[in-house]
Amino acid sequence: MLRPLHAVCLALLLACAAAQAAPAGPGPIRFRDITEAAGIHFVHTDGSSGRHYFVETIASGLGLIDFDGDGYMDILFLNGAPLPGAPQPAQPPACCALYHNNRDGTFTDVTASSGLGVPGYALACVVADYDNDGHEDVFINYYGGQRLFHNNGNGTFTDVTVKAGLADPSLVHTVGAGCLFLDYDRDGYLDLFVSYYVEFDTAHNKPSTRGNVPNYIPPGNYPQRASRLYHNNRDGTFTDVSLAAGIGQHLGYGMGVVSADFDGDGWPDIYVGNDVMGNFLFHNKKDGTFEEIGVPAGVAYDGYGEPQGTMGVNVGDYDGDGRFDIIVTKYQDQVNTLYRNLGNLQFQDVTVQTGAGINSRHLVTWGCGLVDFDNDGVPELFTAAGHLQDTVEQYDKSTTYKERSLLLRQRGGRFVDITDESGALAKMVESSRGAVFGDLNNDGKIDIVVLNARSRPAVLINETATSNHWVLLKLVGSRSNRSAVGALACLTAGGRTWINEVRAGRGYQSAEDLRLHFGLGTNAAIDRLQVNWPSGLTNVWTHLPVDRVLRLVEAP
Amino acid sequence: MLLAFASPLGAETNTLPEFRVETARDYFLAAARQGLAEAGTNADTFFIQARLQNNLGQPDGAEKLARQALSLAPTRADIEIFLGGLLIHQDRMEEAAAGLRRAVATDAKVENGQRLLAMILERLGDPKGAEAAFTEAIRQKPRDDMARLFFGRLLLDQGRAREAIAHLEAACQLDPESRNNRYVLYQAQTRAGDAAGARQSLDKLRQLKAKEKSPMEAADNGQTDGPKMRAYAAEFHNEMANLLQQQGRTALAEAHLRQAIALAPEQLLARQRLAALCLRTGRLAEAKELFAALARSQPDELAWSVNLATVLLQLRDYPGAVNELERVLQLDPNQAEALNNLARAYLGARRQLPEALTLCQRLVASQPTAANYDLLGWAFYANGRTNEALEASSQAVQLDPGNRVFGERHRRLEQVAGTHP
Repeated sequence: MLRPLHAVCLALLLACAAAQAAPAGPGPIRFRDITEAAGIHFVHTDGSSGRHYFVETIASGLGLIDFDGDGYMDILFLNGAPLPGAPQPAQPPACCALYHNNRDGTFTDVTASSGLGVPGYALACVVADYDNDGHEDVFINYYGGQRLFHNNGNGTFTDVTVKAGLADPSLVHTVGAGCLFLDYDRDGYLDLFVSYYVEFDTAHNKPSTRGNVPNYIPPGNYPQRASRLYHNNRDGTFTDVSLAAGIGQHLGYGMGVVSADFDGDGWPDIYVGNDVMGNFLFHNKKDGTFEEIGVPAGVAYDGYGEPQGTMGVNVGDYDGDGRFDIIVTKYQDQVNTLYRNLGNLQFQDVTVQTGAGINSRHLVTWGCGLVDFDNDGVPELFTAAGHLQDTVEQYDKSTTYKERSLLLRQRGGRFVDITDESGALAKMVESSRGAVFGDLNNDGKIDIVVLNARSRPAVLINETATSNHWVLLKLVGSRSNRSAVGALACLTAGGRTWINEVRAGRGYQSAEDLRLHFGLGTNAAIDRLQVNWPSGLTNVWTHLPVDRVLRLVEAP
Repeated sequence: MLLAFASPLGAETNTLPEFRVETARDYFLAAARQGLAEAGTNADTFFIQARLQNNLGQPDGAEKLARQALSLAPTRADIEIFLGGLLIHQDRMEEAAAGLRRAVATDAKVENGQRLLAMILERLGDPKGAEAAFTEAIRQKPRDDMARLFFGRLLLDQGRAREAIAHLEAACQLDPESRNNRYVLYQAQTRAGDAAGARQSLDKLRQLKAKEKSPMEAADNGQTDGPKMRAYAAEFHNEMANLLQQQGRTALAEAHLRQAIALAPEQLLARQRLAALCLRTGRLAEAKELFAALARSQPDELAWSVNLATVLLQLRDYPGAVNELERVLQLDPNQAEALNNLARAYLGARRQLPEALTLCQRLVASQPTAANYDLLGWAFYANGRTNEALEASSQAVQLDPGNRVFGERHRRLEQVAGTHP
């Protein structure tokens, strides 16, 4: 059942849906690559040795985190580690890297002092304040295990995996995948959902060739594993409730995951992208259990009933109708798929009608997002690209290991490819994996950070010339979880209404800016802002200023 | 090492390097060069090579060759269709649409032309054009379940769920095991508010899903694309054989078929074609062996047994033919060709004549053609029922008055019956 206030938001949105077209003749959306100038020297490794270990193909995601609480997004780059047969690691050995945002366009590598530079083959991460102490913590999913890092509030983190009850020796050969924090029982504490890709042991690697060229074997050659749901016991520990919650029965090849309230009932649902099989949609039944409804909801397969090689998944309201739609990235010879949320837990694959899959067929795509880069109130679609087969050019001339990512803009109800005009983004030819979106310099324009496999990342600052207005909402829970994960914001300005929801963990195994961004077009004031908190409380603000970051605390 | 192979006809030979997965590309290069030398510079040679290039993941090369083929045969709709497929994979939709429009303008009924055009028009944001093309595709080929699936999807996306259901139900009837058809039907029924239908479809969908192999079971555990490479090579030789046969170069065609069989013994097309070629060139013993091998490898494919029986009849091995045909009719009592051939076998062997007559009567009842009436006449005559033979023969002549064989047989029957002067 729809909560009444959410229903009002929805009615407003539906009434305004016809007015959602972008302003005529928008200027180009342009990015500048500041990676080098910003002092970011991180280089990703997948630990490859030439033996083509399966795990190398999927590394890695990344995260945005304001670990020191200064209001500026810092960056956590995940890294692989040498696998058997790889050259001796450089000193010090490769590990994840935490870069502090100096607020002047530069970053400082603070890995050594942070405690996050732990050796390990890191694949995915999620950021949020799981213990409500006001500091953003980090969970990292590795090949061979998982770790929870508690933010001590002084620039350092402590590995609390064992203490939190999250250590699990059975994961020693498990390839970790997307993870997220959510408050599935709405008790004010963030729970943890973790997906896994396959069971893989380098000692039992299966070699593969194509046209006598060595390559990576498909995931179907290795056993699947079910995702896990860990309940937060509110004392710094977690309990695995996967089976009781109806999650642990579903074996999958988990990749990206995202949580959203898809049916507007106030309870967070979970969407799990699976490689080479149908995706899962776990519907929250409000009693601590979930029901897997991917097929009946129309999000397991593409619109013609074909399973995708799903990599990343993300959520946004692409058509401004007040419901959260889903974007899915995929393997070569498929297209990025956009599912429109029709309500009542029914989705429609609108890829063909909207053109959302344009120019993606030859690509393997990963990180993705529906993001309003030019603040016109209509989201663009970004997908990071790059093949996972590093030898693909030798046997398939239709694609390459390093590819350009894709930026699409909505024009006349359809997506068009604007990558060519996007400045530094157009020049980035890499084998990209994770991509995160956030405002690194707090100028109201959403920037992109991309993790490129076996290469340097790209920090792409949004330099789009626009006078459109914006607002960033930093929501702070009091009765709800402190990070406000699951809080729904419904914003009205100039007769138009937008929604957004705080999500921790999304895209391709990555963590984005927890702040909510709204592009407001020419509207120079917010008429009304309503926040539905996970606690059940609702706060309403009127006549709020724009073009700034607003910190809003849950009021009883 | 060069592998030379000569056909039994001996007129022409061809030479290719030995096929090894490690040097497959060299093999393909040599095969392509040789194909040009053998079959000449013409649209078909280029087209065959374009398809090979595409299989080998060389879309640029495939496009170049397809365009060369088109330059030599600008009205070949099948080449335009192939080129359209290549362009679709590269997201060059406008170009693909232009080519497909040319293809259906040249040959409105070209295989899959209307359906492909419809799919592209839909992707280009022209649902009306897509609808017209889907409608035409289904009019031309009502049993095309894929056209119905895609058209159903289009209608559903336009909010026309009820119209979609009609096509999707038809698609499910045409291919009841298709998860895709059932999945989209379920969605259409849900949108149309047909809860009972949707529930039924969802149950069926779950049954189909349960029958599917798990990704691990379905995975290519071979860990090499050697079998695929061999299959591509075999396909190339098959196509070259077809072309050379059309050119009357039987010996070379046969050599290509033998090479295809050597490369991919599990593929049956080359064996089938070689058997047919042997039959045409009067090498009945070899044809018999080939059809027998096909029948052994696919016991449920009755066509092989029927063909084998046809060869056995020509070899006057009536007991062998009878055995084969009786087996076919046990599996499919109405298999017309088997009924026909078994009747002929009985009549030829002058045994089980009453059974031969029964078979002919069943045949005429299901297919009242001139040839079957003629055969019925023969069966009546063999059973000593001359008047009924004359009557059946008369039917054959009425149905096909220009057929001199039927006419002559009828005249002789009249003589026997004493009704002819």
